Amino acid sequence: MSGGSIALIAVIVVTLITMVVGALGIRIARTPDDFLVAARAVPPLRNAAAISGEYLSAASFLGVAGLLLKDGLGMLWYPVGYAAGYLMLLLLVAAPLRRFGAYTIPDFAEGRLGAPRLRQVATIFVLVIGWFYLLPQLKGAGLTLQVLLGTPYWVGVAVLAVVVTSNIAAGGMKGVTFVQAVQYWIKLMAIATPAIVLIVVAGGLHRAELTRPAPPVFNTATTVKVQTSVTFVVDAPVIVQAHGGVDNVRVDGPLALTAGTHRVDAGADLVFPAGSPAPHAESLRSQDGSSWVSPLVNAGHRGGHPLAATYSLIVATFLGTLGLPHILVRFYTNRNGRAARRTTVIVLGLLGVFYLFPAVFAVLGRLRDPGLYLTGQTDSVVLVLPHALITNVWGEILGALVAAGAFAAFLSTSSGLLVSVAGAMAHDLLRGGVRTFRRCALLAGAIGLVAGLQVQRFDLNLLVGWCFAIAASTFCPLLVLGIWWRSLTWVGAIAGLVLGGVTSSAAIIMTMVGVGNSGWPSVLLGQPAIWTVPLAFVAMIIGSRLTPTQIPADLESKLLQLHLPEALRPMAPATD
Amino acid sequence: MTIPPHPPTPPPAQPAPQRVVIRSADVGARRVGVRGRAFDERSEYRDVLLHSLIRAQFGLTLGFIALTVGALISLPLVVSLMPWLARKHVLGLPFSLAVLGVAVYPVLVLIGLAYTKLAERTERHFLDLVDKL
Repeated sequence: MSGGSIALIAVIVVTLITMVVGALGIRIARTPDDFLVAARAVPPLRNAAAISGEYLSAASFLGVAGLLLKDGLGMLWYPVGYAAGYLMLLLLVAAPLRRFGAYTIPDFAEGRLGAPRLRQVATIFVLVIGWFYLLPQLKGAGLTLQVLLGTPYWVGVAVLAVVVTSNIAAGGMKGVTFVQAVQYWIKLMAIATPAIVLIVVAGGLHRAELTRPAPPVFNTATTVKVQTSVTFVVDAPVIVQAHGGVDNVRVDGPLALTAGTHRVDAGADLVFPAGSPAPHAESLRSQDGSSWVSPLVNAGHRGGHPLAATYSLIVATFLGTLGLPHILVRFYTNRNGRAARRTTVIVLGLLGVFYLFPAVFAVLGRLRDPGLYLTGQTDSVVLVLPHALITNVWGEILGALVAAGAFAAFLSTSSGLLVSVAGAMAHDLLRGGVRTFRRCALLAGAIGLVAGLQVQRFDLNLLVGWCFAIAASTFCPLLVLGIWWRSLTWVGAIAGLVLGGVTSSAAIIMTMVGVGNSGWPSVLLGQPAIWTVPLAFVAMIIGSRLTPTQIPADLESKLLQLHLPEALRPMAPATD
Repeated sequence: MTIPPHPPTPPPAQPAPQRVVIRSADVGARRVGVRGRAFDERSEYRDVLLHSLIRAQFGLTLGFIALTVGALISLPLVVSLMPWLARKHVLGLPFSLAVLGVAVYPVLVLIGLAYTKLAERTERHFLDLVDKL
């Protein structure tokens, strides 16, 4: 209980800081430009910290460790892809996009290709991606409060949605920008400190049993507390001390668990003897050490194709980052194209430092807290591991620190997303001013809240990975071809956006409702980027080739705007 | 409503809520006068120059994508051909963790730094070329 209250205080402090700084922004925010994008010309390091702060979401803070614990080290491709996405962004779009001066993707689309209809189509996908990305943040908040305080899932979802929505509706982005940079450092500290302490406490990460072909084992007699009722699989019979409902019978004492599936009710405790192998939730796969350390993605696809799944994930994450609508806005705040490049390289460094740490929780979780495989709540490993390994007050304090960091992650990413979604609604669809923006923020937050309540059963990174797949299948080809290919037309762009967006979304929705659970369908529908991204590129190219008359008449001046170094530009923004 | 091809500079402090097409005003443009005029006056060279710049930058981008692909994307293939690699330990860490959890990040940063250097050099050469014309 004391642990819960320390953590609660930490979460409240982080939330208050966010709200206060956001509120300070209100007074500074005057013009529409001010209100939406913080004053331009933020120095690269601070801008990079803000980009990283906004980017490191619930999926990075909690989800990466959870996914690694659950599905093995092959899932390291998620964080690698999240970081490498910035390398692709640097190579393909950073400097030209800043020089063009577009501040949202719909702005770029209409500015480059000159078609209002294209702006509307692009706006729809900004909304789809933005809302989709909001879901894992809300799920993370629901899960965190559930683990820390035992509140029902919806409480955390509602708290986050209300805090962020009211903050955005009141303060706009001015405050948010300021907080984002600080929040990177909060998050880094909140994950690095416990990780380093836990490595020391556990005596290092080098364990032969990690790679041994055997399931994880309870090293000491371990109590597993079950918060949500779960069906689990026992591979080897074991005698446990049970308190609570197991297999529809109330037990209070020793219980023989036979090999096979068992159901345990919420609120029950199971005490496993030292040396017994850990059972796993029915929804997880049993993984011995040798498959857990494989560097290929093999996420529960029975009879899956790990190599294809790995490459598909690589395509989605490497190319998805540059299509995320809330990231592009940040590049507008660079001084010029050169600063945009430098900022991006710093972002790569900052993300790389952060991503060293989630794996620590996964490795130690597998070695020291395999009860998480039974409850299936692998996404909570970062939150629970400090208490599990350090039983005194320091464990509670470290637990509070990660809880605060997790909340910082939800707040910053969902704020950025909500600004993008509300901005797209207010400016691109409704063409309104600041008051419309506020109303749209409230509406967007409400829609997010309702949707967030529906996604409890999906892994955080699965949700985020899907979001990247949609972004990679829509905005990535639009930006890459728009910047580097002279013959792109608005007709081709719409064809690619629609085809890529619809196929990738459809594949993901089919996976969510449970179509295609094995073999090739599970790979191609569950990780669609490997075919939807090329499809979108091809559609854009063919569509443009068929409509050569639609190439904008002012193409040369657009290319000049995209590629000409600042030193050669006249004072006015365009070269008339 | 369409965006005019060359919108005027966004007006300073505009109290009324009206649609503002937000475009870049060029912050940090240096030595604008002389070179800017040189580039515009020789407009018969302008398109040729610009296309050579775009080609050079795009070539650089493709080269670095190839490098990244070589460095990172070949890894899954290598491991699926040599599965015993995954059971090795490197510097006390399982192979996957050492490579994908640690070593990959400095490599990404180095690739990014090298690209930034070369992209800036391409731009400098371009400016020198324009100066000479």
